[in-house]
Amino acid sequence: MTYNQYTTCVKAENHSTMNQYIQVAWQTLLADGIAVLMIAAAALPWCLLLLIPITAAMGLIAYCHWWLEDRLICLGGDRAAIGLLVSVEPPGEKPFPDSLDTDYSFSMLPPPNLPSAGQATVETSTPYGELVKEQDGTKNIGLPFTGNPATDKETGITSATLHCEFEGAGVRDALLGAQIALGLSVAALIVCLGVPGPIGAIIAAILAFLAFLAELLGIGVGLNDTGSPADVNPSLGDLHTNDHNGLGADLLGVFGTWVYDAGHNNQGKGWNEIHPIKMCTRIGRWKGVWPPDTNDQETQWQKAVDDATSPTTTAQQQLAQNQWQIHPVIDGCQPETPPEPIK
Amino acid sequence: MKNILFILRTLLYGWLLAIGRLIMVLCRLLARWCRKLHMGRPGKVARSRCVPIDEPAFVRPDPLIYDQYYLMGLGLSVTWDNPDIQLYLNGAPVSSSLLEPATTYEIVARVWNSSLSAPVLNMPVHFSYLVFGIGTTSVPIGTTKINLGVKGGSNCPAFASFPWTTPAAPGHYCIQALLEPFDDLNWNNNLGQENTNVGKAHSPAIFTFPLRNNTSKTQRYSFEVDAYSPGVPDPCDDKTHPRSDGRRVVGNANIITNGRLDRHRRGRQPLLAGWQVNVTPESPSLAPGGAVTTTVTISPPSGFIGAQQLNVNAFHEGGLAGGVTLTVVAG
Repeated sequence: MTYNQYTTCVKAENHSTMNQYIQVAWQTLLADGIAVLMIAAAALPWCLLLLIPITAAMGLIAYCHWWLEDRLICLGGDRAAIGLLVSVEPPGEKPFPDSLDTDYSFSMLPPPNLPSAGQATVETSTPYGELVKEQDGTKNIGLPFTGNPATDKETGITSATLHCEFEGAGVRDALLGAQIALGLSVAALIVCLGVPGPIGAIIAAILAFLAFLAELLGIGVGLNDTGSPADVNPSLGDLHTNDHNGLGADLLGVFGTWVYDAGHNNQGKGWNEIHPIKMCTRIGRWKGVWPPDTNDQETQWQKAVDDATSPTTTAQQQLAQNQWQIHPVIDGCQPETPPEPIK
Repeated sequence: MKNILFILRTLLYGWLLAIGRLIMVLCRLLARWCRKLHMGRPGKVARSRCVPIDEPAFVRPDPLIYDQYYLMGLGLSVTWDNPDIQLYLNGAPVSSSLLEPATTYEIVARVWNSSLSAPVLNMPVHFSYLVFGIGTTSVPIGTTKINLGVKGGSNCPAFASFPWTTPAAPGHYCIQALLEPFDDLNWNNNLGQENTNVGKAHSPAIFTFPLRNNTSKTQRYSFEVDAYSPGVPDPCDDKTHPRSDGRRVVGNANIITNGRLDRHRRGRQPLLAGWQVNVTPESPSLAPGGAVTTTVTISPPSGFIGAQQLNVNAFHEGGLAGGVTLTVVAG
C-alpha cells in the first residue's frame, strides 16, 4: 500500500482551539520581540530591517506547522467506506494561496443515501452515517460542526457528503523553504549585530536575500508539487462525476484515516473526512439508484481492504511465487506446496 | 512604415494606454481570483466531469485469465487447453474434448489479479461456448460475479463457476470466459478460451473443424502448428534458469524471470521430429462471415505410443485468429 502522508492528526484534547491566524500572529510577534530586544541591546537600529525576513519566515513556519501537525483531529483510526462521487477538487483549480494546499480531494455520498440527502439524513444512515456525524471528542472542545455539503456541478444538486483527501506535499515544501529562510534570517541578524561596519551590513543583506529566495523557492516548489497527468504512473486514471442527467459518476471504494478537519473553523465550519486516503479504487458507476447488492459490496469492500492491508498479504507478496508479471503459469514459479490444480 | 508609426505612437501616448490596459487586465484577474477565493469550496471544484488523478493511493486492479490472444501478442506460444478453465461433472474434472450431449457440467474459471493493492468487487465473469473451431460464433452460457483479492491475498486467485448444460446435438465445443471488471489496468488479458479435441492416431489422426472469418473484411488465413505446452513452472527455490541448450545457469531475479519466459516464446517448442502435420486448405481466403471446413491430418512417428498435444493456430493479417489444441493418442 503506497500513499502520501505529510500530516499528523492529534487527539481532540491536544488540539489548540485558538484561531490559526492568531496562533501565527503571536508566534511571529514572539520571535520579533526577541529580535527587537537583541537589536536594542546592541543599539544597532538598522538591523531592524531584518525583522522583515524573520517575520515572513516565522509566520510561514507557524502556519505550515499548524496545518500539518494540529489541524486534523483523530477520530478513530483508519476506516473503509464506499460512496458516490459528487465533486472533485484537484489542486490545479485552487486560487493562491489555497493552491499551496496541493491535496487532491473529493466528496462522496455514502449509500444508501440519494443525491440531495441532507446532513441529518446522511448521518443517521448505516453503515457510514457515523463517519459524517459530529463526534463527542470534537463537540466537547467546542469546535464548530457543519458537515460537508457538496454540489454536483452538472445537476446543481447539493448533498451532505463524506470529504476525502489524497495528500499533496505543497505545505510541507513551503515549510522546508521557510525553515531554511528562518535559519538564514537569524544568521543575518547575528552578522548584523556581531560584525561591525559595512562588511557586516553587506553579509547580512546577502543572507537576508538568500532567506527571501529560500522562502520563494519553498513556495514555488510547493505550488508545483502535485502529481501530473503526464507522469508515467500505471495507476494514472480519471475520476468521473455525474452528467447533466445525474448519471455516470464513479462509485468509489475508499480507505484512510478518519479525522475532523479544523482548517475551516475560522469560518465557523468543520466536518469529518478521510485524510489521508490510503487506498481508493473505482468500483462501479452510478445509474440513478444504489445497486441491490450494495450491502454486500460494503461488507466485501471492508473484507477486501482488510485482506489487502494485512501483514500476511504483504508478506505473501514478497514471496517468489508472487513475483510473476504476465501470468503465474508463464513467468511464475512453483512454491514448495503447490496450489491446488484445477486441471 | 507601419512599424515606424506604431513605435512613434507607442512613444508618444501608446505606453500610457498600455499601462491602462494592463491595469484593466490585472483588475480582471484580481477580481476573478477574489471571486474564486470567496466562493470557498465550490470555487475549487473541477470544471470538467472527467478529472485526471495521479496519486499513489489511487489504485487500479488488473484482473486476468490465461488469455491466448494477449499472450500471442507478447510473442509467446499458447495452448488452447486453458490452464485457467476447467469443466467438472459431479465434482470430478473432465476434459472439454469429451463432453456428453445434454449434460450439465460446472465450468470453473480461475482468475488472477496482477495488482498488489487494488482488489476487485463484484466483477462479472461471462461464460459462453462456441462450436469447436476457429472464429466460430459465441453463444452465451451465463454470467456470475466474483470478488477478487490483491496478488498474494487470500482471495487471489478467485474462482468463478457456472453450470452449463451442453447442447443436445453431439459435438465438440469451445468454452470462453470473459472478465468484465469496472476498471482495469490491462483490458487485453481478460478473455480465456478452452478449445481442445482428442483423436486416436489410426495412422494418421484426422481432425476437422470449421474456420470462420469473424472479422468485417476478407481475410487470408495461414496456420502454424507447434507442440507447445506450458508445463509445470520452475520451483521457486531454484536460483538458476534454463538456457536454450538445456543447461541451467545462475542468475538474479530478473534473469530468472526472463529465463522462465524464454521457454514460452513463440517457436521454442516446435513440432517434434518425425511428426507430420498437414492442414487443408493451406491458406484459405474467406469473405466476412464465410467459413471453411479445415482438416488437420497428423501422422505421428512410427512406434509412437502415448498422447501428444499439438496446437494449431490460425493467423490473418490482423494477427491471431484463433486456434485449437489437438491431442493425438496412440497405443
